[in-house]
Amino acid sequence: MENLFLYLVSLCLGIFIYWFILPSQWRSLFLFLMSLLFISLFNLKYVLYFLLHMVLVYSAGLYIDKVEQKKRLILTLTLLWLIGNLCFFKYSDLFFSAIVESGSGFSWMPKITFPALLLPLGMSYIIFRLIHFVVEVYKKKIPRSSFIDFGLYVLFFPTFLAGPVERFKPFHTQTIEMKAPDLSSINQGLFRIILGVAKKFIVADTLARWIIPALHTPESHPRFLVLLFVYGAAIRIYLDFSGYTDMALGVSRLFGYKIMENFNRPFFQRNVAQFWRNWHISVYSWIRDYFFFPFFGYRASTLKIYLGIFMTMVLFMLWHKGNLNFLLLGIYHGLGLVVWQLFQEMKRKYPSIRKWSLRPVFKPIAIFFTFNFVSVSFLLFYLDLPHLYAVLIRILK
Amino acid sequence: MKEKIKNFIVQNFLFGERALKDDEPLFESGIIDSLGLIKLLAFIEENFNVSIDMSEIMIENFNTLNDIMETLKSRANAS
Repeated sequence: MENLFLYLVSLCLGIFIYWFILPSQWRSLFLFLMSLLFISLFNLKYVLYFLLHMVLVYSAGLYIDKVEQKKRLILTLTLLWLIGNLCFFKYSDLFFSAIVESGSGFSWMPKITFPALLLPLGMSYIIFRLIHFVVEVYKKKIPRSSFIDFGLYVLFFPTFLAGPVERFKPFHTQTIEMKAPDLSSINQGLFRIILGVAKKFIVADTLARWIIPALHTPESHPRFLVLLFVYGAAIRIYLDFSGYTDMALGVSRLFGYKIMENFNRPFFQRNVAQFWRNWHISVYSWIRDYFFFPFFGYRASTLKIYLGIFMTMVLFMLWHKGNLNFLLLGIYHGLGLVVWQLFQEMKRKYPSIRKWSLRPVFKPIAIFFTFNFVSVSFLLFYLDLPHLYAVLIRILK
Repeated sequence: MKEKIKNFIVQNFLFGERALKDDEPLFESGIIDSLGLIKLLAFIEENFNVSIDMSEIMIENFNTLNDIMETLKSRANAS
């Protein structure tokens, strides 16, 4: 709470300097420095690490933009570097543990321990922005920018910790135009911050204190209550995550930036495909644009497209965390999406099924079914498989 | 060309049950998803003898019928 208070005081001071003291041409530099300061509060090494990546990607962008020769090679090397770094920090622990584990059965094998690698905070989001930038420069889809404007886009402190992963073009346009917020924007910004704080710190954290222990002991609660805990657990993930997004969007608004929304009523969607289009929109659409379309979506056979849909979801889940739970989540939702697409094909072929599915009564049923489909799977965010099994048995038996 | 594309969308994604406005967002309204976009691109390539570059496959280039026409027009001008 002390940190939150300190953050709010610094924020107010920052906003005052930003709008009332600095001339407009210094504002992006100020915000960039403020972002560096914010990151350095977590660890100064992160700042140096991210700056190194930014210099590299910006230089690669300049080269790709100016020189036609070997630009594909430069792009490939840059992408390999960025993805390699992300995978190293995110999955090396898993990889090394698996090696040590596999050798543990042999007595001659020396006992090896690897120092735990700490994933720099916000690294995934920064790598996603950097990949987006260099690919779009390659496609000639984004305007030239100064290093400061580019750096501000990458490190923008309100979205540093938990996104959204804004696209460069709309962000950069706002940096250039730098419109002072009107009263309505300030109101909206403050409202989103209050909403985010309430969602995250009041509702989601309280729900977590009640629900997570209860889910570990389902046998000591009535069946109906356990079912409510399952729903509550899913809603808690949404409130936690969207609360962060609300705060990020609200703070951005106070600095004159309108950042893309990350959630759009996901629990009121009629099918799993709609759900994912409205959940963590910025990252899901990023993976769609930079993984699904390039690898699976270009002049592909139907089988390859289905494989792409499945793999996209597996990758999206493994991006959250490289463990069995998230692999299972990816497989579950990947299969869900494929089955949904097959159902769509059936609707095209058989008008009777299509007409039946379009009946008004079907809509609330579809929403309820989708909510249940998602809620059950989100238990994997909290529980290992034996505990998940115990919860399901408690509800079903 | 526009009418043919519109007709394709209406028949395949709206099942011929209603009309499509030129500025109606295809993705936000859930008419077309990623798979639908791939089918639409295949239809355009096959029927109009155009080759759409991978770098052009972005939702924003195909979000409405007007966007689709604009994308096809700008690539025709470029070539």
